Amino acid sequence: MMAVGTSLLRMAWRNIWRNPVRSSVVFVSMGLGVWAGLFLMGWASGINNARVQAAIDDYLAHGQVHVPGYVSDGTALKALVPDARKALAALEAHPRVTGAAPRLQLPAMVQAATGSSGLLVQGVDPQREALLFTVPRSITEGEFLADTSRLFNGVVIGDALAKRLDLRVGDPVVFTYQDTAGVVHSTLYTIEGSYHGTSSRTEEALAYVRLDHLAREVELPNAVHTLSFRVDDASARQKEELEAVCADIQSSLPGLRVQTWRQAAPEMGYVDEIMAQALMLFMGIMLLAMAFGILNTMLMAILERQRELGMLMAVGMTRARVFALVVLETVLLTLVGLPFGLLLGHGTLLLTSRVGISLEMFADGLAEFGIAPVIYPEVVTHWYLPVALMVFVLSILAALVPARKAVSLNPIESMRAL
Amino acid sequence: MSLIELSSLTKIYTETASEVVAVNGINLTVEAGEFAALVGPSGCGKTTLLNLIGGLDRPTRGTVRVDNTDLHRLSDADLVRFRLEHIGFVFQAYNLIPVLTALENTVFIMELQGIPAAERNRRGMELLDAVGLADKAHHRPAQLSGGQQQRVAVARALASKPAFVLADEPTANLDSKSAATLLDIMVELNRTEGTLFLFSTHDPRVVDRAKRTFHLEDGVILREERRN
Repeated sequence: MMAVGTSLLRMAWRNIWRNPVRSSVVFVSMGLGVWAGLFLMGWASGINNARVQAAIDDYLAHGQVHVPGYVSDGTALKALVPDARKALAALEAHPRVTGAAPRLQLPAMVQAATGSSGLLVQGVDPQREALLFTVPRSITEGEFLADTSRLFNGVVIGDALAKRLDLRVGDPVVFTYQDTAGVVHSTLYTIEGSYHGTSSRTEEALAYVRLDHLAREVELPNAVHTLSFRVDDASARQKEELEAVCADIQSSLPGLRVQTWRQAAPEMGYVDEIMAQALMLFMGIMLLAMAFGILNTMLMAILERQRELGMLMAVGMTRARVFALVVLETVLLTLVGLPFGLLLGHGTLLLTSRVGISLEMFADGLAEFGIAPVIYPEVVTHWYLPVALMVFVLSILAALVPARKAVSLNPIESMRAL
Repeated sequence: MSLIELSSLTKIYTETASEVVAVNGINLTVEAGEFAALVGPSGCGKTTLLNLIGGLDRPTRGTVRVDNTDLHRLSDADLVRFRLEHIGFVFQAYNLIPVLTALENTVFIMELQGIPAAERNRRGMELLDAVGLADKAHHRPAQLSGGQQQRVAVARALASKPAFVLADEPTANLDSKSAATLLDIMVELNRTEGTLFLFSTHDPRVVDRAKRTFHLEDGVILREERRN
């Protein structure tokens, strides 16, 4: 059996080189298909990573602490963290936590001379906020609620909102919001700064004021809705690791709910999962097209070699071995084309993940979705095995039709074939 | 004892509008070690008869017994095995495997039989030597002349030590010199290996060398000749 296996392998290998141009076309198309698929996956993952990172940097952080029942749309005014100072201290004492910040969030209406807009006012501790989020470091005009400021009622708004309402540093605006008793408050604020967010949506939707000021305005001293925190890079990288850290924090904060960013903003995680499925589907469709190419090539090869296959069966080669020969030829074609595609894809992703791909010309459109104009594709090594298996299985399936055709040949008629 | 025994062997093709009786009730026996030929013009049924004897086709009526085995009672799979173990084939158009060398072609049947590499290579080289192609053992068919390719085909047919070799018009595509060389080799192998050779041919060069000839016309044997 071993001898026959070796013999079949040798024949199959040499057969695929009988028509080097045709085989090369198959290798190259297979390689390019795998390359394109991998690059697309890396590209989409890169975009998604950038979107997630932007959300983490803008408002999510790595994890959040709330009271159970809190919802993030700002409507749960009464869902306040009891004894927030103690909880904040516990968070900051955790060895894996690199920073924590409190937030009081209220939906509000901002009114200026030029118009009005709905947004979410974030009452923040400016120094702690700077440890967690990028907004304090992305000020394009003015300052981010600085200690040295003479303003206690300062507000920092996004560039997009500032542009739409034609607001500049020093301009007055009125914020209207309700407190927990349902009483409507109107407060005069002064624009203290404007920030460049990672998306124009957040620039329109989030305004920052001092936590103490906001708490006093709504008559809820020391009130906090959310304690956001960041963890060290090693803990943040893996989903399971972050969950483990959160579970550990949870044990020190009984009565509160500690969530990872995925749990706090499940829509982010859903996008991740949906994208993974969509990419696999897309890859599958692309590889299916490639499989038909292989099928066509092998079918042509079988029809050209009818006479030889008839002779093989005449002299005593079983149909099972003829079948195996055709499948083996296809597998060998795959084994040459697949690594070529994987290597090409890996190389491209490795390079572009470092240098990035600039889409400056679409920057405004991308900003709408919270995507930075330079995309850094991800080296999606975790996709390599599933893609390789998919290529392998599809190529074997593609071999079945020509292999079936080969074994259905009549030896005598085949040997008469021209 | 007869090695090949045909009894009322008939083959009728019905694929065309009218029936074609290619072989019509043939009875014959061939002994081990003979050097015999089925002779006749194109369309007389000699290739069909050879295919029936080789188990490549099934008769409409009658039987083919080879070494007391009724070939057409065997299943398709058993028939393939029988051909592999008992019959050597030489076809008109060489029919070597183009991607294998002369030696690899020669030992191919033995590989299918599962004979160990050392033994099959020894036997393969012996046979290539016997057909005068030991120095071409590592040449591929495309690097050999037509006559040389047919000699490799003969070596391959004999590699598995079959009970008999069926050769369908083996000299049809060869020039006189190559045909004479090939026939010399087959005569010699028939003598030394004791293998029965049965040809289908209308080539007088083959007919002249055959010890026994069956003259066919319209699917029947008109006459049989023996010569010493």
